[in-house]
Amino acid sequence: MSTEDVTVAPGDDAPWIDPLRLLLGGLAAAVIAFLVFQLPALVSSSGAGLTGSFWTMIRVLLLLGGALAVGGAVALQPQSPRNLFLAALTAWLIGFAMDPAWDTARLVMLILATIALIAAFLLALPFLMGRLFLLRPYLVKSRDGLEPHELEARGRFTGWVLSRVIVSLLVVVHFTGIVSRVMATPPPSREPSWLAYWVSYELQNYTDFCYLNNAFRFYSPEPGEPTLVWFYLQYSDGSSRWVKLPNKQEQEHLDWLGQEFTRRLSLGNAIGQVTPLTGLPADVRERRIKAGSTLAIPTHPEYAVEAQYQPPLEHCQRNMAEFARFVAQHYPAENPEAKVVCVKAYRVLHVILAPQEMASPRIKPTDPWTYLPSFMGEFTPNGEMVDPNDPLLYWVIPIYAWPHGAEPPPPFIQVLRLEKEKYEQLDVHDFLQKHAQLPPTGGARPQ
Amino acid sequence: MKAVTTVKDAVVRAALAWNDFWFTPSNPTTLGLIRILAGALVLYAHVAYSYDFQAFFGKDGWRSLAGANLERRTLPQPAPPIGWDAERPALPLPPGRKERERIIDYLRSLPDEPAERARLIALFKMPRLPQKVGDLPTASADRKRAVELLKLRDVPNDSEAPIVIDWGRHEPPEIFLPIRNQAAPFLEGLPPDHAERERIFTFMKDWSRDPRQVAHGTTIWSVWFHVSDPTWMLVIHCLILTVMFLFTAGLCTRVTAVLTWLAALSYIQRSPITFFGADAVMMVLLLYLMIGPSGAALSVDRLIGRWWAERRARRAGKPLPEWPAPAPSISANFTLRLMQIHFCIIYLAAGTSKLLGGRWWNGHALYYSVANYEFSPLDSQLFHGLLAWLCQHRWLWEIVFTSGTWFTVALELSLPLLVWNRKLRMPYVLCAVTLHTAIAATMGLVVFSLLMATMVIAFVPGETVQALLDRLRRLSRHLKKAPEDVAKAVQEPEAEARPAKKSDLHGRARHGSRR
Repeated sequence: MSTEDVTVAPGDDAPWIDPLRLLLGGLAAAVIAFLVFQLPALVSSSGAGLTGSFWTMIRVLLLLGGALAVGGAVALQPQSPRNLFLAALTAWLIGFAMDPAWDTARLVMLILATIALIAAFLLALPFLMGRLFLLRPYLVKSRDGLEPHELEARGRFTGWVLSRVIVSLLVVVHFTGIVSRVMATPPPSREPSWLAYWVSYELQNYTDFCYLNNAFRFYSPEPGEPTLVWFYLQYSDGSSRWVKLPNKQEQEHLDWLGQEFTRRLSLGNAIGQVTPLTGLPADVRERRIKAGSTLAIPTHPEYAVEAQYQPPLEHCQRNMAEFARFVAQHYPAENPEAKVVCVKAYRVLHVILAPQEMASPRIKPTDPWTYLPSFMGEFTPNGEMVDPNDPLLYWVIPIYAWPHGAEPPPPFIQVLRLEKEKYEQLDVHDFLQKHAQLPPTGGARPQ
Repeated sequence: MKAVTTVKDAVVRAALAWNDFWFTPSNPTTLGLIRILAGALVLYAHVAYSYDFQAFFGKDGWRSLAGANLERRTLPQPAPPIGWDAERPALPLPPGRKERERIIDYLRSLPDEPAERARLIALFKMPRLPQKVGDLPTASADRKRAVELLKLRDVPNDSEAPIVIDWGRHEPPEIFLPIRNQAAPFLEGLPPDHAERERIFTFMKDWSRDPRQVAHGTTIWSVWFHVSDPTWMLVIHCLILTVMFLFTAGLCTRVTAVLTWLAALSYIQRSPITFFGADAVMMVLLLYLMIGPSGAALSVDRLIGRWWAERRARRAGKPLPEWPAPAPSISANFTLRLMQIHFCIIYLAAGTSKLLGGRWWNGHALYYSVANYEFSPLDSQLFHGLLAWLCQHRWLWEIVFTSGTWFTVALELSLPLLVWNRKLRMPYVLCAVTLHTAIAATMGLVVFSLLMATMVIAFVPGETVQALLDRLRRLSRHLKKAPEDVAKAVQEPEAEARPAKKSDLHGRARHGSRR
């Protein structure tokens, strides 16, 4: 940073460790690792060096020890350009002494080496400029008649200013990267700013590595419903079970701050983004209605039919397949002999009660009709979708409440949203359970 | 000439103000406090990972290692188009993976033999595949060429007679036919090298894009990309928790800060599907705590330094040295400035994006945030009862939630502009802490809220933190002595703890400041 930056570092008073020795030790470890493990692999025609878990362990110990020694030395004397330069060299060597399969660790070492090199340059700049200014009378005709020590002082000052200018530029680049990620995230159904997208694309490697890529759109534009993920597993012995994530009532851990619960809730977000559609394709609608009539699964009466078809974005489909595979592997049947036959996956929005509903003592936030599931596909235990042409795929499978004894709503037609708080008794029509219990052969369904 | 001088003066003034803003030494105590609070939260968040450790980071977790590796190595990164035309994929493949695979497998199966390959490509190029004799071109040369391409042995005179196209062994799947026109130039543009072609096809199977059109791969790191053995994963996880504890305590802070940052990155980059807002704020804080001297105050490092100095003095037979307050440093100020500006960006982004939402305008947003069953403590009878009671009294409901909603938006929009005013700084800091405490209590995002409240402490001068801590220390000392001294203890240090004049972030007297 600057020679003015005098901090009370514990190492200043800790002469029991010589930073230079530490540095040289770290450098030696890196050189040994490079010579023993990487060089033979580079020069041999087969490209193979010392392998096996024992040698891997030795290699890791050497490299980790070297990195920690160098890090410690820099921490003890952070103002020394020499130390930083040696640290950069060591980090670079450590990076190259790593197995190419450890590519992301190698990336870290190369980044650390670059940072150390820049820091060494910035710290050395006043000294270098001082020396450069001493040469000035020989290079240009100077008439200012300054003494050498004055020239050197002027050079040092210039170097000091330059180092601050460079640091300032780095600050500007840093915040440009952060702001560009904010601006490159477009508002709903709008295109992103081209300029912001271009800048964020150029600085993406930096912001991605440091995880500075958040757009900070907390609870906006509207606080929305949480997305849950439900799975229905069918086993070879005919048994079945629901796996609902996350489940607030099943929090079995001592996690007072609810951190893990929130993480499990994030799984829903990983499958929750939907493809914006300009209109519902006629064939998709017809197939849904036809299949719905055959299976007696109507559309949700309280939502427009067009709003009930929501295909997820491609990465969400990919995540869903992974989740189905995970659930099949980790949620076995009670009978140890039974195997998973299929996994039906649902993305479920948990609708937030309107204030007038919340005010009613008869309505609870967890009533079954507050859940709005969409079918995300039937999967094999390996996470492969059984039938991408399933007519109910990506459609809402309704669970709705209807006044007790009243005429049922007409199928496939939207009625006004029911004012549930006004009814003494509501009957719940759960088509999700019905859909989940359909036999596990997507191909056998009506197309 | 005068204009030039004015501009020059303005530039010099701006440069000096910039220098003053970033490079004036300040007390690192604030940074030390932020390290303790953020470190404790980071440690908690990572201890909590232990419950779902293998599920989130294991080889066959929610996101498998193979899937994570594929994504980090090959995720397409489309560049923004240079002209006005949006960049189009070389081959518009359907979104479903199975359909995509069928098309790619078909393209893969096309023959290498040049004549047959050229014939099939020419067939793909035909604007309309003839179904009957009447669909054939009428001009004799074109008709002859079409007959050759279709490999028709004889063409009946009946224009309604059906035509069966001879695809050889390469009958295209139905799903391919709508995109066959675009497939022709794509196939012609494929490299002759078989391995290179395979690489392109494999990439397209995964991502629908031609790898030659997009940059791909991400620059991320995680130890969990390389270690997948459960035992070793557990060992490394425990080591990481130890490092995080040492960082929180402030031992070897310079080293443990870097290790903590790299470790936290490791978890997030391996499992972005479990990401939420707290992770973003956590990474911001850890990055800055690594840059600044976060161990220069309130740390074990400092205690060790003190112990060492006293030991040396004792050995030399000298009186024990007075241990000064942490020395002001440029890097402490620099780091706090980074945190402050980042905090303002977060607030501004959150505030402006809320302006797009109707519920933030009509004052209902806060209700829909606290009535969210998964986040809020609605499973508690007390909270549910209170919320239901508020909902039964519309006037009260409107006053509470509308004022809360508007307060949130007003705070997020105005803090980034007004917090720089010295008189308004502390009220704004208190408002932000209040907001985040309320979020923690009613919206369930406890770690996120505590991290944000920690970050806003960056606006509190080190001297103020120091004075507050001194007062607490005296209070606790007196509490141990006698209850009647407590009141005295609270009042007494005020005179000595309070700075002579109101100070800015650097602890300088206000009238001495350039700003």
